[in-house]
Amino acid sequence: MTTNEPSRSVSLRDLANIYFWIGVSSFGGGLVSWVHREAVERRKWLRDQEFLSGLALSQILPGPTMVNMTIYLGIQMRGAAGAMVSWSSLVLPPSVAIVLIYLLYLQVQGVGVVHFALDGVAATAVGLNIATGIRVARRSRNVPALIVAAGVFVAVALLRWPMLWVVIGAAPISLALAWRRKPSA
Amino acid sequence: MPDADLLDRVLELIRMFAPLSLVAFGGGPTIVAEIERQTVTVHGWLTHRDFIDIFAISRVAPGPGILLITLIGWKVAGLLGAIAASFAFYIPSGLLVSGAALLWRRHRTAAWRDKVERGLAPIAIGLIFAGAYSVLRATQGGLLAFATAAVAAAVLIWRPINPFVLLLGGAVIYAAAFPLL
Repeated sequence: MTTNEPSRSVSLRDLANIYFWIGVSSFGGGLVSWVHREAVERRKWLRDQEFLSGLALSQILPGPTMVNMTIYLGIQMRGAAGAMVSWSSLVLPPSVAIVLIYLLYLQVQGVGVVHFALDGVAATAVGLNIATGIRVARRSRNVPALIVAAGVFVAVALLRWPMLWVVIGAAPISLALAWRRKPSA
Repeated sequence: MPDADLLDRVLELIRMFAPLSLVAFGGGPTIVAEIERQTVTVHGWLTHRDFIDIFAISRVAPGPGILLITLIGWKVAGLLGAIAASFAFYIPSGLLVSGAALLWRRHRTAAWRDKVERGLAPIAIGLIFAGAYSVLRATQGGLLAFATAAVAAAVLIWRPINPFVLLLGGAVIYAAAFPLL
């Protein structure tokens, strides 16, 4: 751990620079591991534990993990200004890029093969999400938890109930179940 | 009255995405099913075709996958829609994480953290699979789409290869199969 001491001399310009490149060069996800490599391993802005507790928090709270993580680390390193600079550098350039890509798509959408290729991308991307779901399900392998997961799936996917109410209804049950279980790991 | 109509749609986007922001436990993949339900079934703003194309574009474009929301906003109400939908989604959860970041350091080792994590995980799992199901139902591929998704999931669990390579592979295979159908 001694080689992992943070130097804490992070300028707003550094944050803008790092998050800009993470935003525009991250294809197909995996942004969190990028941040770990840059902020912890290479630049030593943060200790491993700070990074990991931030990651845990970002996963617990609602919202995209990567965006949450960016705000969290920005605040840890440079306060509110750090969060604003990091967040806008991460999100704004790709937002502009995706709209430009969409406008390009509108020019070629008349070609049948375009829709078909996008169907292929969508089906593959769904596979990536399923892999994530399976990985998480493996970790919380107990019957009541899987029943809750199945119930949420049926309510949202098959019965098409509004997600807001499903989550509000299922969260207390699922949290109560977690509270009753003894900590295992 | 195109202006009043546009404003209505922008307000509806905000009403839809702001609450969604606060229940998106587990991030982007968990809210895909709800976005599809609201934009295609409830409001009829998008066809299934539009939804699939926008979803696919958001996967191959750089940046967080959640930019799907920006594109939905653009499709529904142009530039104003894109801005409104994005900020409606980013601000509520962003404020929540900011507040929590300030409090968090005092509760580093609290046991409740572990319990909250484990309590929310099953909900996220159910929602992730619901999102997968609603996208697959919306594609034209039918069985082919389900099979593609299953193969992609199996490959990724077997080997941690770059997801972008998989996505391009999916596009190429479908494009090559196109003349046969």
